[in-house]
Amino acid sequence: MKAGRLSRRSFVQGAAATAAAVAAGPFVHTTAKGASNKLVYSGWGGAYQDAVREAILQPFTKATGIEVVEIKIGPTIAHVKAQVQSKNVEWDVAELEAPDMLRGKQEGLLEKIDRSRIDTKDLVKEAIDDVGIGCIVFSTVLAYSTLAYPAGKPHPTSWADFWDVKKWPGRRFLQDQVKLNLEFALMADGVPNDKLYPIDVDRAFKSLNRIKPHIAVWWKKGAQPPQLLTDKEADLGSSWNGRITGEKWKGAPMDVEWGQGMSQYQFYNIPKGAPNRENALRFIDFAIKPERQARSAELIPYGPTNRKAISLIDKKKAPDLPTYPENLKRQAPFNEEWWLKNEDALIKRWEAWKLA
Amino acid sequence: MEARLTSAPTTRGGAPGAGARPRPAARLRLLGLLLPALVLLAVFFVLPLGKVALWSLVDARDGGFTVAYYARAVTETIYLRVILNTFRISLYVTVICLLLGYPVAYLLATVRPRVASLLMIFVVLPFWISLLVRLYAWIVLLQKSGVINALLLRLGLAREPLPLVYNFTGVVIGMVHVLLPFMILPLYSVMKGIDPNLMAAARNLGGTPVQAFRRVFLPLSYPGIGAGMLMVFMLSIGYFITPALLGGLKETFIAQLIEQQVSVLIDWNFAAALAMLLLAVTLLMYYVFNRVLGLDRIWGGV
Repeated sequence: MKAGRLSRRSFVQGAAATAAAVAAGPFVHTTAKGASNKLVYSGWGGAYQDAVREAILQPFTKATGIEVVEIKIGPTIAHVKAQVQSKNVEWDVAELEAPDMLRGKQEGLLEKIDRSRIDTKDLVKEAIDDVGIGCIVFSTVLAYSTLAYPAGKPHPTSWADFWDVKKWPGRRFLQDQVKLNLEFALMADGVPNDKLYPIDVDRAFKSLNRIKPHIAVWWKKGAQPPQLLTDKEADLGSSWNGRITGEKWKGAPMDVEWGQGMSQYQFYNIPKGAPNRENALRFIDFAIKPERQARSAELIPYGPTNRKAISLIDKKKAPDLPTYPENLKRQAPFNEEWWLKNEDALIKRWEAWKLA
Repeated sequence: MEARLTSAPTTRGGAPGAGARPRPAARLRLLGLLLPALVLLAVFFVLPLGKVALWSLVDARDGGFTVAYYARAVTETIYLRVILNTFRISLYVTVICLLLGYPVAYLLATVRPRVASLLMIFVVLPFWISLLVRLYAWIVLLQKSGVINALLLRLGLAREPLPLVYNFTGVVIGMVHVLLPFMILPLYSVMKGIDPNLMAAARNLGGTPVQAFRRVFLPLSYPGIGAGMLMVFMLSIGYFITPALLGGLKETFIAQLIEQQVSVLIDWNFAAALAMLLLAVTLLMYYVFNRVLGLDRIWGGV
């Protein structure tokens, strides 16, 4: 209780400081608590945050003098909700995945983004939202071991191939979640890439029944697919592209098939009542510039959302990114809005299906 | 029989000696010593728990009172099925921990103190290693191309790799490894308190070693068995990451479903109802354990 009141006070102070700084214009850099010279960035830690630091955070500090405080947590909308509800908002920018952002928008947990402050003209349209600006694109794709399917020889190129255990033997893995597996199941059953939504749920589960006995591992953590391929525990399965390509760039025997992969976006969001909102807007505008995004994509294989970034990326690495034009064309469009409406019911059905 | 053998004075019974009422000044001092722990529990346990209980009864949209979340938790069978599943696997883990832990505790309680403290290091060693590190280590050991399967194949004990992970077996192995100390420690503390002369007396009166163990030592160790089983079982049912990483499709624990509600669907009120449901069933289990095994003897101090 007491903590809540205290933090509300410090929040008001922070907000007042920000307001004062805005009013005073660019000449005033520090106020009572130096709030206006600070930005709290909440990211995903690991190799990804290392890349973000080098490509974006450090250049941002150099260019603006604003100190960036890093949080490494893998921010979810649940974290944001806890901060907003307890009136103790600590983050200025949180990198949320699209479904989290959409739920946050629904519940009024995110600040509206003042688009006049951000140069969005070169962004792909999927990256622009009222409460967020897309920063990276990652895809869930068919990953495979190049020991089992060497380069130059045929490898499975579609979910129909993945379902065809006679033609393509090998140990398989899929993610333990309902989202995307329904889409993959429909594509395996012959539904065209652009006719997936609204999802025919019964048909999808029927199709999943056929592959269920052939799945050796249902993975929970993104680190598992590359581990399974490295240890020769499995030969093919669904995976986030960045994990596989990251290992491939280091020389590991694995690759991804872009055909029928599905792209999802991650967004910069400003939690409602963030202490340094002004700096957050400056940060977002800075971070989506093509040079920054290109540098980030060279360090870790997630796709830029700025169309101009692709041409700036090392020619050897660009074809491994989800937003490389050739790859974009071959993937199937993913519908976040449909899942927002249906995920609750489908999670229940998924859990029951697992036990059946 | 067991009642007769274990009828040592308990504080509950208002027995003389240890149970004598302390003088007011002493009581005040005792309260003073307890205060930090009480405050800690109140702030970090009772308050949040109360808040969760409140959430489970409050409508997220209008803030009014509702039992709709409980109705949903009970009528949608998947949640009860997963709770039962959680209990089933936890029970296996508890029994295996008992079978493995009892002999170890017996050994610890009967060897020379210096040897015992050396052995104790091995018992508590796992506490010093991060849970995730242990889990990935188990995957490396147990997987198809893992160390154990490689060994079995080379020795000709298996024709093809055994499925040791991503299934029930993997979950049980991983959980037993983590939870075994929670079985061994209470068993050890109870066994340490058993007078070795009682065993000698039983032998003296013509009992075989097996009889002496079964009719004297074993009944005297019941409170330790009860406390160990309770501890392991209660910890098991809240497990989350171990079944997620070492299990297959069927080893879903209720904590995983609660987590989905919290962080994927951000339906905290429903998550609270599920959590309270789990708590209620857990307390019920505690009550039953207590009636059968007389745990208050343990908490009463051995």
